[in-house]
Amino acid sequence: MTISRKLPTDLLLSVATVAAISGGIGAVLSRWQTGPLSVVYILGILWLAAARGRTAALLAACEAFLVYDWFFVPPFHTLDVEQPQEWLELGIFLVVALVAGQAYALQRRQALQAAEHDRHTQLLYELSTELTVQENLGRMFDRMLAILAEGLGLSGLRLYVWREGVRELSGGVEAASDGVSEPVTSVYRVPCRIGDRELAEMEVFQKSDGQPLTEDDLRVLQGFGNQMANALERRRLEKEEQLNQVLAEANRTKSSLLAAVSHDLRTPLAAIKASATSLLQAGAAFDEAERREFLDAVNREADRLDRLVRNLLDMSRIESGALAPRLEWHNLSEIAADVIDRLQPVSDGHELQLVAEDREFLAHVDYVQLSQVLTNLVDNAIRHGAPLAPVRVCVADGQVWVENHGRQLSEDEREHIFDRFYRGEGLASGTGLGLAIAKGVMEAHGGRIWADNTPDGVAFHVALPAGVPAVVA
Amino acid sequence: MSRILVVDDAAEIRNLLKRTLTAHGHAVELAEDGIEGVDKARTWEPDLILLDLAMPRMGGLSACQHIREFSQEPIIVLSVMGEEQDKVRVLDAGADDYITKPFGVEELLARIRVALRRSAGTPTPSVFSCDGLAVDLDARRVTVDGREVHLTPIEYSVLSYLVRNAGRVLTHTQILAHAWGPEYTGELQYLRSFIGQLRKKLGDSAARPHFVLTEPGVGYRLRSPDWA
Repeated sequence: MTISRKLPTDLLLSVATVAAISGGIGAVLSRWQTGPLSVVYILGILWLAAARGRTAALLAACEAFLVYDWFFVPPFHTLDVEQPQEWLELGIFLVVALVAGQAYALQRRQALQAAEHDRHTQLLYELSTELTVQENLGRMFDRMLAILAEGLGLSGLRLYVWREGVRELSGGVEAASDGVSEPVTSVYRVPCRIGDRELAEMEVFQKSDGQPLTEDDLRVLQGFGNQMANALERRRLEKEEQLNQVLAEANRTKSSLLAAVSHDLRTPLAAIKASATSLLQAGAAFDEAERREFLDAVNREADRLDRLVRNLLDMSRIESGALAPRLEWHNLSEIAADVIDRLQPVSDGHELQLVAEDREFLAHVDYVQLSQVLTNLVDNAIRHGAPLAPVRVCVADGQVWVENHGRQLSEDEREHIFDRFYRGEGLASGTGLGLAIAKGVMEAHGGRIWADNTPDGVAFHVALPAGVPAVVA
Repeated sequence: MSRILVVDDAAEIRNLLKRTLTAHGHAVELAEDGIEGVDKARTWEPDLILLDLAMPRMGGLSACQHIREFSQEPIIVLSVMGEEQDKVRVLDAGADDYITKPFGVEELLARIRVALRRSAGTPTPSVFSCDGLAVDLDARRVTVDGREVHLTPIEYSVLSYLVRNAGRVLTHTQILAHAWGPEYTGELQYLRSFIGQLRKKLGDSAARPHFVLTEPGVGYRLRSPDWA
């Protein structure tokens, strides 16, 4: 196909060149009688070899031989030769012309190949650099394919990645169709392999100029394919590594959660068990007040267990992203009062006070979840407050804060107090879950939670997103 | 005294309830899941049913719907915190009331008393009276500690509905449909502001209402003289 397409041009050029040179020789010979000028043809043949390659040079050599013999070797206008040494001269000319043309053409081709090779090497290098540098493989597939397609002059290139046995189109470039040229067809498939495993496949479309793919093009494509396979494998390994880290982290979390939880579950259980067995004791004589104390303990500790279990449920919902607040307009002071009333009996002598005007402070919240937040904040304020000091829950528009009297927070505590399993300094008990849950819930509400030191204690603030319900009169 | 059917998949709860209710003079029958519950509701003909929400095979909601096909005896649903939507669904499906686990026995007995009284067809006395609040349903007159309270027609409509169901939870939907009509059942804001005004007029605190109690995410409940 190449030969047949190039041949007419080669023929035309060689004839033109030989004719031009022959004309020149004719003109010179008509004025001056001079020696053999056949050597001039060599120049033309070398030029053709350089410009057009071997075929044109060989054609020109043969044409020059015939034309020179016909016009300039006596007897003129025949292919016959008068003197025997003229044959030798013509023979040598033909051989020199052929050899020179051939040699020059070969050298030119090698030079071109070397240049092409250089370009391809450069291309591969650029692509491989790109592959190593880029973090996000997925996003750069198109870019890489574009570079490659442009470098090789391809009309299109597609990349399919194998995912669980299914070929998935992961990127591609295609020359914009001008509506005139015939539709592009894929001509070649390049597998992207590591060892025997095929990770992806490239679909290669014909070159824009209609030329076939050269050995060198294929080498570049295969080289790129291999690097692509390497990059894909690397990404897979990275993902696996990430997953492993997540799993390891989850495992650590689970262990510390179990440790904290089993401790916290055991405390109320121990109290309940002790109270119940005391009452069951055969022959023990308790008066009514003592019996009531045991029963109160059972009742109180059961409530504590209930709160703990609720926290655990919330934590798992937060972790799994399943904590979807069911937002409705609720009165913040009513929620606060409800929390205070439930916790007052188990406040270890701390008085729980509600500080709010007697009116509705409407906020768009999930009642159960916000009440859990306040329960955790009040519980926290009780546990970390000075003995018997009151805990105040203050309500304003879109805000609730819980204040206690006691030790203030260090910088480190303020920073980490909402982290899971963070227990703060000192001897405080607790799972380190309550505040983390409070934070998780507030985030799910689009609100904020933070802690501040007050002159004689700590205040935990909860701020809900502003918004006024459409009250219909 | 009364025949109570307890439907719950947890054996501890079933047995505990049986012991407690028997001690208070009720006859108790137990069922382990919704299917058995519906069955016994039909054959044993209880006066009241305590129905757990989350059960294997058939849950409380389906059981309630099935039971309502043949019986109008009161159903009190046992549920846990966070199942508000399920509570509303089962109340709208015909359950009379609910109680959240873990609950105190006193609270449960009060709910049972209210439900049994309603189903016994005891006519609501024409004057409701509880802790200083008096509502004369015939004269449409409301007083708090003897002082007359002036209510708009809709406020009175809401209050009288609550009074006739004193002690029992009424869902937002039920109250809205009663006072404004079925086409208003989505207008929670109406209700919110009317209840706010009603409380103010009854001298109820916004944070700790004494008469009109909030059932978060479900509805409202009027304090009942039976509770004391």
